Amino acid sequence: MTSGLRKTHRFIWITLGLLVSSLIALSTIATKKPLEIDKDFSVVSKHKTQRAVFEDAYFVINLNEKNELNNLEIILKKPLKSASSLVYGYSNNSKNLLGSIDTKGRYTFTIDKLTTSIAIYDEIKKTNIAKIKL
Amino acid sequence: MGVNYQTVLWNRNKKIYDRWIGLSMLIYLISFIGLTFITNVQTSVETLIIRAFGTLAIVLLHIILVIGPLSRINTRFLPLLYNRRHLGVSMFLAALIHGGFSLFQFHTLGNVNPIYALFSSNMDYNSLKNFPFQVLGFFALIILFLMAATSHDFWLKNLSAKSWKRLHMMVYFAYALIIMHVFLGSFQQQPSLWSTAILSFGFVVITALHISTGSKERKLDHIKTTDTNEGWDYVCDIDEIPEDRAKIFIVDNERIAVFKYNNKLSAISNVCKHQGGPLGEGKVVDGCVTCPWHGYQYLPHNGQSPPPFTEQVSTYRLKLIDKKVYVSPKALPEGTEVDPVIFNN
Ligand code: HEM
Ligand code: FES
Repeated sequence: MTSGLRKTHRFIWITLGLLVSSLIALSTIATKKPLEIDKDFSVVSKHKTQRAVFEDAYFVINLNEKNELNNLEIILKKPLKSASSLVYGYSNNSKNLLGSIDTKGRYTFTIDKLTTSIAIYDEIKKTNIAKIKL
Repeated sequence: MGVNYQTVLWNRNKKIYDRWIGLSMLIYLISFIGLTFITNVQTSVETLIIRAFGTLAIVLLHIILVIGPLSRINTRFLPLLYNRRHLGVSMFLAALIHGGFSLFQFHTLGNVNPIYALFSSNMDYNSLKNFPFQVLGFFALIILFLMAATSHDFWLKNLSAKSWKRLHMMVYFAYALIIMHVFLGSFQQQPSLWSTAILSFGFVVITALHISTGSKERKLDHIKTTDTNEGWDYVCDIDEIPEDRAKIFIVDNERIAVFKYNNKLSAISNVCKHQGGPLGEGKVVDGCVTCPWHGYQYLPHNGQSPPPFTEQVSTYRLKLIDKKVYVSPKALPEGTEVDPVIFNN
Protein backbone atom coordinates (compact mmCIF):
# COMPACT_ATOMS: atom_id res chain seq x y z
CA MET A 1 0.00 0.00 0.00
CA THR A 2 1.08 3.56 -0.51
CA SER A 3 1.33 5.83 2.49
CA GLY A 4 -1.79 7.67 1.29
CA LEU A 5 -3.79 4.47 1.20
CA ARG A 6 -2.57 3.56 4.69
CA LYS A 7 -3.70 6.97 5.92
CA THR A 8 -7.12 6.54 4.30
CA HIS A 9 -7.56 3.12 5.88
CA ARG A 10 -6.67 4.44 9.31
CA PHE A 11 -9.02 7.39 8.90
CA ILE A 12 -11.87 5.12 7.78
CA TRP A 13 -11.46 2.73 10.69
CA ILE A 14 -11.21 5.46 13.32
CA THR A 15 -14.32 7.15 11.90
CA LEU A 16 -16.13 3.83 11.66
CA GLY A 17 -15.12 2.89 15.20
CA LEU A 18 -16.44 6.13 16.66
CA LEU A 19 -19.56 6.43 14.54
CA VAL A 20 -20.77 2.84 14.61
CA SER A 21 -20.04 2.34 18.31
CA SER A 22 -22.11 5.44 19.15
CA LEU A 23 -24.92 4.17 16.93
CA ILE A 24 -24.71 0.74 18.57
CA ALA A 25 -24.94 2.37 21.99
CA LEU A 26 -27.90 4.56 20.96
CA SER A 27 -29.79 1.71 19.35
CA THR A 28 -29.20 -0.55 22.35
CA ILE A 29 -30.56 2.14 24.65
CA ALA A 30 -33.58 2.59 22.38
CA THR A 31 -34.41 -1.12 22.40
CA LYS A 32 -38.08 -1.60 23.02
CA LYS A 33 -37.75 -3.66 26.14
CA PRO A 34 -34.85 -4.05 28.52
CA LEU A 35 -32.31 -6.57 27.32
CA GLU A 36 -33.01 -9.88 28.91
CA ILE A 37 -31.21 -13.15 28.79
CA ASP A 38 -32.55 -15.29 25.96
CA LYS A 39 -35.65 -17.29 26.77
CA ASP A 40 -36.98 -15.90 30.02
CA PHE A 41 -38.30 -12.41 29.93
CA SER A 42 -40.67 -10.45 32.05
CA VAL A 43 -44.28 -10.24 30.95
CA VAL A 44 -44.91 -7.35 33.28
CA SER A 45 -45.18 -4.06 31.48
CA LYS A 46 -42.69 -1.30 32.18
CA HIS A 47 -45.35 1.41 32.03
CA LYS A 48 -47.52 2.13 35.02
CA THR A 49 -49.95 4.47 33.32
CA GLN A 50 -51.51 1.95 31.04
CA ARG A 51 -54.69 -0.03 30.97
CA ALA A 52 -54.69 -3.82 30.75
CA VAL A 53 -56.89 -4.87 27.85
CA PHE A 54 -56.55 -8.57 27.47
CA GLU A 55 -54.63 -11.57 28.66
CA ASP A 56 -54.61 -15.25 27.74
CA ALA A 57 -52.09 -18.05 27.32
CA TYR A 58 -50.40 -16.26 24.42
CA PHE A 59 -50.97 -12.55 24.80
CA VAL A 60 -50.82 -9.74 27.29
CA ILE A 61 -52.24 -6.62 25.68
CA ASN A 62 -52.01 -3.20 27.23
CA LEU A 63 -53.02 0.23 26.05
CA ASN A 64 -51.16 3.34 27.03
CA GLU A 65 -53.34 6.40 26.41
CA LYS A 66 -51.55 9.57 25.48
CA ASN A 67 -52.64 13.00 24.28
CA GLU A 68 -52.77 12.45 20.56
CA LEU A 69 -51.91 8.86 19.84
CA ASN A 70 -52.18 5.72 21.91
CA ASN A 71 -49.49 3.15 22.45
CA LEU A 72 -50.54 -0.44 22.03
CA GLU A 73 -48.33 -3.00 23.70
CA ILE A 74 -48.58 -6.66 22.78
CA ILE A 75 -46.54 -9.09 24.80
CA LEU A 76 -46.34 -12.47 23.17
CA LYS A 77 -45.69 -15.04 25.89
CA LYS A 78 -44.90 -17.90 23.58
CA PRO A 79 -44.45 -18.17 19.84
CA LEU A 80 -47.64 -18.40 17.80
CA LYS A 81 -48.27 -21.51 15.73
CA SER A 82 -48.70 -19.42 12.62
CA ALA A 83 -45.50 -18.60 10.76
CA SER A 84 -46.55 -15.11 9.87
CA SER A 85 -48.96 -13.11 11.99
CA LEU A 86 -50.09 -9.58 11.28
CA VAL A 87 -51.70 -7.08 13.61
CA TYR A 88 -54.54 -4.95 12.22
CA GLY A 89 -56.22 -1.99 13.85
CA TYR A 90 -59.93 -1.30 13.18
CA SER A 91 -61.67 2.04 13.50
CA ASN A 92 -65.23 2.91 12.41
CA ASN A 93 -64.90 1.86 8.84
CA SER A 94 -61.25 1.29 8.13
CA LYS A 95 -58.67 -1.36 8.71
CA ASN A 96 -54.95 -0.58 9.07
CA LEU A 97 -51.99 -2.88 9.10
CA LEU A 98 -50.02 -2.12 12.25
CA GLY A 99 -47.19 -4.64 11.84
CA SER A 100 -46.23 -8.22 12.35
CA ILE A 101 -45.34 -10.35 15.35
CA ASP A 102 -43.53 -13.63 15.41
CA THR A 103 -41.39 -14.96 18.28
CA LYS A 104 -42.16 -14.20 21.85
CA GLY A 105 -41.31 -10.75 23.04
CA ARG A 106 -42.72 -7.29 23.55
CA TYR A 107 -44.09 -5.41 20.55
CA THR A 108 -45.32 -1.84 20.62
CA PHE A 109 -47.43 -0.08 18.02
CA THR A 110 -48.61 3.48 17.80
CA ILE A 111 -52.33 3.71 17.02
CA ASP A 112 -54.72 6.60 16.70
CA LYS A 113 -57.54 7.39 19.12
CA LEU A 114 -60.14 6.11 16.70
CA THR A 115 -58.90 2.56 16.72
CA THR A 116 -61.47 0.57 18.66
CA SER A 117 -60.32 -2.99 18.16
CA ILE A 118 -57.42 -5.00 16.86
CA ALA A 119 -57.10 -8.33 15.14
CA ILE A 120 -54.20 -10.72 15.02
CA TYR A 121 -54.34 -12.37 11.68
CA ASP A 122 -52.72 -15.54 10.37
CA GLU A 123 -51.54 -14.54 6.98
CA ILE A 124 -51.03 -18.03 5.69
CA LYS A 125 -54.31 -19.59 6.80
CA LYS A 126 -56.08 -16.26 6.20
CA THR A 127 -57.93 -16.42 9.51
CA ASN A 128 -58.04 -14.32 12.64
CA ILE A 129 -56.13 -15.75 15.59
CA ALA A 130 -57.70 -13.23 17.93
CA LYS A 131 -59.96 -10.21 17.70
CA ILE A 132 -59.83 -7.92 20.69
CA LYS A 133 -61.81 -4.82 21.65
CA LEU A 134 -59.68 -2.09 23.14
CA MET B 1 -11.08 -8.16 -25.84
CA GLY B 2 -8.00 -6.00 -25.94
CA VAL B 3 -7.32 -5.81 -22.25
CA ASN B 4 -4.46 -7.85 -20.88
CA TYR B 5 -4.80 -9.11 -17.41
CA GLN B 6 -2.77 -11.33 -15.23
CA THR B 7 -4.78 -13.82 -13.26
CA VAL B 8 -3.88 -15.00 -9.85
CA LEU B 9 -3.22 -18.54 -10.86
CA TRP B 10 -5.44 -21.43 -9.93
CA ASN B 11 -3.60 -24.09 -8.12
CA ARG B 12 -4.19 -27.13 -5.98
CA ASN B 13 -4.07 -25.13 -2.75
CA LYS B 14 -6.73 -22.74 -3.93
CA LYS B 15 -9.05 -25.64 -4.69
CA ILE B 16 -8.39 -27.16 -1.27
CA TYR B 17 -9.19 -23.82 0.37
CA ASP B 18 -12.40 -23.55 -1.64
CA ARG B 19 -13.43 -26.98 -0.50
CA TRP B 20 -12.80 -25.96 3.09
CA ILE B 21 -14.87 -22.80 2.64
CA GLY B 22 -17.78 -24.79 1.19
CA LEU B 23 -17.58 -27.46 3.85
CA SER B 24 -17.40 -24.98 6.73
CA MET B 25 -20.40 -23.06 5.38
CA LEU B 26 -22.35 -26.28 5.13
CA ILE B 27 -21.44 -27.32 8.69
CA TYR B 28 -22.46 -23.89 9.94
CA LEU B 29 -25.84 -24.01 8.21
CA ILE B 30 -26.60 -27.54 9.39
CA SER B 31 -25.62 -26.71 12.99
CA PHE B 32 -27.68 -23.52 12.93
CA ILE B 33 -30.75 -25.29 11.62
CA GLY B 34 -30.24 -28.24 13.97
CA LEU B 35 -29.85 -26.01 17.02
CA THR B 36 -32.93 -24.01 16.08
CA PHE B 37 -34.99 -27.16 15.79
CA ILE B 38 -33.77 -28.39 19.15
CA THR B 39 -34.42 -25.13 20.97
CA ASN B 40 -37.32 -23.49 19.18
CA VAL B 41 -39.39 -25.83 17.09
CA GLN B 42 -41.92 -23.28 15.97
CA THR B 43 -39.83 -21.25 13.56
CA SER B 44 -41.07 -21.33 9.99
CA VAL B 45 -38.77 -22.68 7.28
CA GLU B 46 -38.51 -19.26 5.61
CA THR B 47 -37.50 -17.57 8.85
CA LEU B 48 -34.98 -20.30 9.47
CA ILE B 49 -33.39 -19.82 6.05
CA ILE B 50 -33.34 -16.05 6.50
CA ARG B 51 -31.61 -16.34 9.85
CA ALA B 52 -29.20 -19.13 8.96
CA PHE B 53 -27.91 -17.32 5.87
CA GLY B 54 -27.97 -13.84 7.44
CA THR B 55 -25.84 -14.96 10.36
CA LEU B 56 -23.58 -17.01 8.07
CA ALA B 57 -22.95 -13.92 5.94
CA ILE B 58 -22.05 -11.75 8.90
CA VAL B 59 -19.74 -14.40 10.36
CA LEU B 60 -17.95 -14.69 7.00
CA LEU B 61 -17.70 -10.91 6.77
CA HIS B 62 -15.96 -10.78 10.14
CA ILE B 63 -13.50 -13.46 9.04
CA ILE B 64 -12.83 -11.55 5.82
CA LEU B 65 -12.20 -8.31 7.67
CA VAL B 66 -9.90 -9.84 10.25
CA ILE B 67 -7.58 -11.49 7.69
CA GLY B 68 -5.93 -8.19 6.65
CA PRO B 69 -4.72 -7.05 10.06
CA LEU B 70 -3.92 -10.62 11.16
CA SER B 71 -1.56 -11.11 8.25
CA ARG B 72 0.18 -7.84 9.18
CA ILE B 73 0.66 -9.25 12.67
CA ASN B 74 1.74 -12.75 11.65
CA THR B 75 2.79 -13.94 8.20
CA ARG B 76 1.28 -17.36 8.90
CA PHE B 77 -2.10 -15.86 7.98
CA LEU B 78 -0.93 -14.91 4.49
CA PRO B 79 -2.42 -18.02 2.82
CA LEU B 80 -5.83 -16.79 4.00
CA LEU B 81 -5.21 -13.42 2.37
CA TYR B 82 -4.34 -15.23 -0.83
CA ASN B 83 -7.77 -16.85 -0.81
CA ARG B 84 -9.81 -14.00 0.62
CA ARG B 85 -11.55 -13.25 -2.65
CA HIS B 86 -13.39 -16.57 -2.70
CA LEU B 87 -14.53 -16.02 0.85
CA GLY B 88 -15.88 -12.65 -0.28
CA VAL B 89 -17.88 -14.13 -3.13
CA SER B 90 -19.24 -16.87 -0.82
CA MET B 91 -20.26 -14.24 1.70
CA PHE B 92 -22.11 -12.33 -1.00
CA LEU B 93 -23.99 -15.47 -2.04
CA ALA B 94 -25.04 -16.15 1.57
CA ALA B 95 -26.17 -12.51 1.96
CA LEU B 96 -28.05 -12.72 -1.34
CA ILE B 97 -30.01 -15.77 -0.22
CA HIS B 98 -30.81 -14.02 3.07
CA GLY B 99 -31.83 -10.75 1.42
CA GLY B 100 -33.72 -12.51 -1.37
CA PHE B 101 -35.74 -14.64 1.01
CA SER B 102 -36.49 -11.62 3.21
CA LEU B 103 -37.72 -9.62 0.24
CA PHE B 104 -39.81 -12.58 -0.80
CA GLN B 105 -41.25 -13.22 2.63
CA PHE B 106 -41.94 -9.68 3.72
CA HIS B 107 -42.64 -7.74 0.55
CA THR B 108 -44.20 -9.90 -2.12
CA LEU B 109 -47.63 -10.08 -0.52
CA GLY B 110 -48.92 -6.74 -1.70
CA ASN B 111 -49.40 -5.70 -5.27
CA VAL B 112 -46.48 -3.27 -5.36
CA ASN B 113 -42.99 -4.01 -6.57
CA PRO B 114 -41.15 -5.70 -3.64
CA ILE B 115 -38.18 -3.32 -3.86
CA TYR B 116 -40.57 -0.36 -3.69
CA ALA B 117 -42.34 -2.04 -0.77
CA LEU B 118 -39.00 -2.47 0.98
CA PHE B 119 -38.49 1.28 0.94
CA SER B 120 -42.05 2.36 1.56
CA SER B 121 -43.56 -0.15 3.98
CA ASN B 122 -41.91 1.57 6.91
CA MET B 123 -41.16 5.28 6.74
CA ASP B 124 -39.97 5.72 10.32
CA TYR B 125 -36.58 7.03 9.24
CA ASN B 126 -36.16 9.21 12.29
CA SER B 127 -36.81 6.53 14.84
CA LEU B 128 -34.16 4.18 16.18
CA LYS B 129 -36.71 1.70 17.50
CA ASN B 130 -38.62 1.29 14.29
CA PHE B 131 -35.98 2.27 11.77
CA PRO B 132 -36.53 0.63 8.36
CA PHE B 133 -33.46 -1.54 8.88
CA GLN B 134 -34.06 -3.63 5.79
CA VAL B 135 -33.11 -0.63 3.67
CA LEU B 136 -29.63 -0.69 5.26
CA GLY B 137 -29.28 -4.37 4.39
CA PHE B 138 -30.39 -3.61 0.86
CA PHE B 139 -27.70 -0.98 0.29
CA ALA B 140 -25.08 -3.23 1.82
CA LEU B 141 -26.15 -6.02 -0.51
CA ILE B 142 -25.77 -3.70 -3.52
CA ILE B 143 -22.20 -2.89 -2.47
CA LEU B 144 -21.41 -6.57 -1.90
CA PHE B 145 -22.86 -7.34 -5.31
CA LEU B 146 -20.66 -4.75 -7.04
CA MET B 147 -17.63 -6.14 -5.26
CA ALA B 148 -18.40 -9.76 -6.05
CA ALA B 149 -19.15 -8.89 -9.67
CA THR B 150 -15.85 -7.07 -10.11
CA SER B 151 -13.78 -9.44 -8.02
CA HIS B 152 -12.07 -11.04 -11.01
CA ASP B 153 -8.64 -9.69 -11.94
CA PHE B 154 -10.03 -8.80 -15.34
CA TRP B 155 -11.97 -5.99 -13.66
CA LEU B 156 -9.02 -4.97 -11.53
CA LYS B 157 -7.10 -4.32 -14.73
CA ASN B 158 -10.03 -2.88 -16.62
CA LEU B 159 -11.19 -0.43 -13.95
CA SER B 160 -7.58 0.53 -13.05
CA ALA B 161 -6.13 -0.59 -9.74
CA LYS B 162 -7.05 2.73 -8.14
CA SER B 163 -10.78 2.76 -8.90
CA TRP B 164 -10.97 -0.95 -8.15
CA LYS B 165 -9.38 -0.41 -4.76
CA ARG B 166 -11.75 2.48 -4.11
CA LEU B 167 -14.74 0.32 -4.99
CA HIS B 168 -13.53 -2.52 -2.81
CA MET B 169 -12.84 -0.24 0.13
CA MET B 170 -16.61 0.32 0.16
CA VAL B 171 -16.72 -2.96 2.05
CA TYR B 172 -16.03 -0.92 5.19
CA PHE B 173 -19.12 1.14 4.53
CA ALA B 174 -21.10 -2.02 3.81
CA TYR B 175 -19.84 -3.43 7.12
CA ALA B 176 -21.14 -0.37 8.99
CA LEU B 177 -24.51 -0.69 7.20
CA ILE B 178 -24.77 -4.37 8.07
CA ILE B 179 -23.92 -3.83 11.75
CA MET B 180 -26.68 -1.20 11.93
CA HIS B 181 -29.02 -3.46 9.92
CA VAL B 182 -28.72 -6.03 12.69
CA PHE B 183 -28.72 -3.64 15.66
CA LEU B 184 -31.71 -1.68 14.39
CA GLY B 185 -33.43 -4.76 12.99
CA SER B 186 -33.45 -8.11 14.65
CA PHE B 187 -31.99 -6.82 17.91
CA GLN B 188 -34.87 -4.36 18.20
CA GLN B 189 -37.49 -6.97 17.46
CA GLN B 190 -36.05 -9.65 19.68
CA PRO B 191 -33.44 -8.24 22.00
CA SER B 192 -31.05 -10.90 23.09
CA LEU B 193 -28.15 -10.28 25.39
CA TRP B 194 -26.04 -13.00 23.83
CA SER B 195 -26.38 -11.96 20.21
CA THR B 196 -25.88 -8.30 21.10
CA ALA B 197 -22.76 -9.15 23.09
CA ILE B 198 -21.29 -11.41 20.41
CA LEU B 199 -21.77 -8.92 17.58
CA SER B 200 -20.48 -6.00 19.65
CA PHE B 201 -17.44 -8.06 20.54
CA GLY B 202 -16.84 -8.87 16.87
CA PHE B 203 -17.10 -5.21 15.93
CA VAL B 204 -14.70 -4.10 18.67
CA VAL B 205 -12.12 -6.75 17.78
CA ILE B 206 -12.19 -5.95 14.07
CA THR B 207 -12.00 -2.20 14.60
CA ALA B 208 -9.30 -2.37 17.25
CA LEU B 209 -7.13 -4.67 15.13
CA HIS B 210 -7.43 -2.39 12.10
CA ILE B 211 -6.67 0.76 14.05
CA SER B 212 -3.75 -0.71 15.97
CA THR B 213 -2.02 -2.34 12.98
CA GLY B 214 -2.72 0.80 10.93
CA SER B 215 -1.14 3.04 13.55
CA LYS B 216 1.91 0.82 13.82
CA GLU B 217 2.37 0.94 10.05
CA ARG B 218 2.00 4.68 9.96
CA LYS B 219 4.72 5.11 12.55
CA LEU B 220 7.06 3.20 10.25
CA ASP B 221 6.24 5.62 7.42
CA HIS B 222 7.73 8.47 9.44
CA ILE B 223 11.12 6.93 10.11
CA LYS B 224 13.81 9.16 8.59
CA THR B 225 17.30 8.16 7.55
CA THR B 226 20.00 8.99 10.05
CA ASP B 227 22.65 9.77 7.52
CA THR B 228 22.64 11.42 4.10
CA ASN B 229 25.71 11.66 1.97
CA GLU B 230 25.68 14.03 -1.04
CA GLY B 231 22.09 13.23 -1.93
CA TRP B 232 22.37 9.55 -1.06
CA ASP B 233 20.42 8.19 1.94
CA TYR B 234 21.96 5.58 4.18
CA VAL B 235 19.70 2.49 4.30
CA CYS B 236 21.47 -0.11 6.43
CA ASP B 237 24.55 -2.28 6.57
CA ILE B 238 24.64 -5.00 3.99
CA ASP B 239 24.68 -7.73 6.67
CA GLU B 240 21.29 -6.57 7.93
CA ILE B 241 19.59 -7.86 4.77
CA PRO B 242 19.01 -11.63 4.70
CA GLU B 243 19.74 -13.47 1.45
CA ASP B 244 16.84 -13.33 -1.09
CA ARG B 245 15.01 -10.88 1.14
CA ALA B 246 14.70 -7.14 1.42
CA LYS B 247 15.14 -4.25 3.77
CA ILE B 248 12.23 -1.82 3.61
CA PHE B 249 13.22 1.83 3.67
CA ILE B 250 11.36 5.14 3.36
CA VAL B 251 12.17 7.76 0.73
CA ASP B 252 9.85 10.68 0.07
CA ASN B 253 7.33 9.19 2.52
CA GLU B 254 6.97 6.07 0.37
CA ARG B 255 8.39 2.65 1.02
CA ILE B 256 10.99 1.02 -1.15
CA ALA B 257 12.49 -2.47 -0.91
CA VAL B 258 16.22 -3.11 -1.13
CA PHE B 259 16.77 -6.75 -2.13
CA LYS B 260 19.89 -8.88 -1.64
CA TYR B 261 20.20 -11.88 -3.94
CA ASN B 262 23.04 -13.72 -5.63
CA ASN B 263 25.70 -11.28 -4.41
CA LYS B 264 23.69 -8.41 -5.86
CA LEU B 265 21.63 -5.53 -4.47
CA SER B 266 18.67 -3.89 -6.23
CA ALA B 267 15.97 -1.50 -5.05
CA ILE B 268 12.38 -1.28 -6.28
CA SER B 269 9.16 0.30 -5.06
CA ASN B 270 7.60 -1.64 -2.18
CA VAL B 271 4.10 -1.35 -3.68
CA CYS B 272 2.85 -4.24 -5.82
CA LYS B 273 0.92 -3.23 -8.94
CA HIS B 274 -1.76 -5.83 -8.27
CA GLN B 275 -3.33 -4.63 -5.04
CA GLY B 276 -0.52 -2.77 -3.34
CA GLY B 277 1.01 -5.74 -1.53
CA PRO B 278 4.32 -5.14 0.29
CA LEU B 279 6.97 -6.46 -2.13
CA GLY B 280 9.72 -5.96 0.45
CA GLU B 281 8.06 -8.59 2.64
CA GLY B 282 8.25 -11.09 -0.19
CA LYS B 283 11.13 -13.31 -1.26
CA VAL B 284 13.24 -13.62 -4.37
CA VAL B 285 12.01 -16.86 -5.97
CA ASP B 286 13.64 -18.10 -9.20
CA GLY B 287 15.32 -14.73 -9.60
CA CYS B 288 12.05 -12.78 -9.24
CA VAL B 289 10.77 -10.71 -6.36
CA THR B 290 7.51 -12.46 -5.42
CA CYS B 291 4.69 -10.52 -3.81
CA PRO B 292 3.62 -12.08 -0.50
CA TRP B 293 -0.06 -11.32 -1.09
CA HIS B 294 -0.95 -13.08 -4.33
CA GLY B 295 2.38 -13.96 -5.90
CA TYR B 296 2.87 -11.38 -8.68
CA GLN B 297 6.54 -11.33 -9.73
CA TYR B 298 9.04 -8.63 -10.69
CA LEU B 299 12.65 -8.72 -11.81
CA PRO B 300 14.70 -6.92 -9.16
CA HIS B 301 17.01 -5.08 -11.58
CA ASN B 302 14.27 -3.44 -13.68
CA GLY B 303 11.00 -3.74 -11.73
CA GLN B 304 9.33 -5.48 -14.68
CA SER B 305 7.15 -8.57 -14.47
CA PRO B 306 8.68 -11.36 -16.53
CA PRO B 307 6.96 -11.85 -19.93
CA PRO B 308 4.16 -12.39 -20.83
CA PHE B 309 3.15 -10.13 -17.95
CA THR B 310 3.43 -6.38 -18.24
CA GLU B 311 3.39 -4.93 -14.73
CA GLN B 312 6.19 -2.48 -13.88
CA VAL B 313 7.24 -0.75 -10.69
CA SER B 314 9.73 2.08 -10.07
CA THR B 315 13.37 1.29 -9.50
CA TYR B 316 16.04 3.12 -7.48
CA ARG B 317 19.81 3.52 -7.75
CA LEU B 318 21.96 2.06 -5.00
CA LYS B 319 25.60 2.33 -4.00
CA LEU B 320 27.73 0.50 -1.50
CA ILE B 321 30.44 2.25 0.54
CA ASP B 322 32.35 -0.28 2.63
CA LYS B 323 29.49 -2.28 4.07
CA LYS B 324 26.98 0.57 4.03
CA VAL B 325 24.10 0.57 1.53
CA TYR B 326 22.97 3.97 0.19
CA VAL B 327 19.99 4.79 -2.04
CA SER B 328 19.34 7.74 -4.29
CA PRO B 329 15.87 8.89 -3.16
CA LYS B 330 14.70 9.78 -6.65
CA ALA B 331 12.32 7.19 -8.11
CA LEU B 332 13.22 6.19 -11.66
CA PRO B 333 10.34 5.73 -14.14
CA GLU B 334 8.60 2.39 -13.75
CA GLY B 335 10.50 -0.45 -15.34
CA THR B 336 13.83 1.43 -15.66
CA GLU B 337 16.82 -0.92 -15.89
CA VAL B 338 19.39 -0.29 -13.12
CA ASP B 339 22.64 -2.25 -12.88
CA PRO B 340 22.57 -4.14 -9.58
CA VAL B 341 25.31 -3.36 -7.06
CA ILE B 342 27.60 -6.38 -7.02
CA PHE B 343 29.42 -7.33 -3.85
CA ASN B 344 31.72 -10.12 -2.70
CA ASN B 345 31.09 -11.96 0.50
C1 HEM C 1 -32.07 -6.79 0.51
C2 HEM C 1 -31.34 -6.90 1.53
C3 HEM C 1 -31.74 -7.39 2.91
C4 HEM C 1 -32.98 -7.56 3.46
C5 HEM C 1 -34.34 -7.28 2.84
C6 HEM C 1 -32.79 -8.08 4.79
C7 HEM C 1 -33.79 -8.36 5.69
C8 HEM C 1 -33.63 -8.82 6.97
C9 HEM C 1 -34.68 -9.12 7.90
C10 HEM C 1 -36.16 -9.00 7.60
C11 HEM C 1 -34.12 -9.54 9.06
C12 HEM C 1 -34.83 -9.97 10.33
C13 HEM C 1 -35.07 -11.46 10.24
C14 HEM C 1 -35.66 -12.02 11.48
O1 HEM C 1 -35.02 -11.94 12.53
O2 HEM C 1 -36.75 -12.56 11.40
C15 HEM C 1 -32.69 -9.48 8.89
C16 HEM C 1 -31.76 -9.83 9.83
C17 HEM C 1 -30.41 -9.97 9.60
N1 HEM C 1 -29.73 -9.61 8.44
FE1 HEM C 1 -30.58 -8.94 6.74
N2 HEM C 1 -31.43 -8.23 5.01
C18 HEM C 1 -30.77 -7.81 3.89
C19 HEM C 1 -29.38 -7.81 3.70
C20 HEM C 1 -28.47 -8.29 4.60
C21 HEM C 1 -27.05 -8.38 4.38
C22 HEM C 1 -26.34 -7.91 3.12
C23 HEM C 1 -26.50 -8.96 5.50
C24 HEM C 1 -25.07 -9.32 5.85
C25 HEM C 1 -24.14 -9.67 5.10
C26 HEM C 1 -27.56 -9.21 6.43
C27 HEM C 1 -27.39 -9.76 7.69
C28 HEM C 1 -28.40 -9.96 8.59
C29 HEM C 1 -28.20 -10.53 9.90
C30 HEM C 1 -26.87 -11.02 10.48
C31 HEM C 1 -29.45 -10.53 10.54
C32 HEM C 1 -29.74 -11.00 11.96
C33 HEM C 1 -30.02 -12.44 12.00
C34 HEM C 1 -31.41 -12.71 11.56
O3 HEM C 1 -32.33 -12.43 12.32
O4 HEM C 1 -31.58 -13.18 10.44
N3 HEM C 1 -28.74 -8.79 5.85
N4 HEM C 1 -32.40 -9.05 7.60
S1 FES D 1 0.13 -9.99 -5.89
FE1 FES D 1 -1.68 -9.12 -5.17
S2 FES D 1 -0.92 -7.42 -4.17
FE2 FES D 1 0.87 -8.25 -4.98
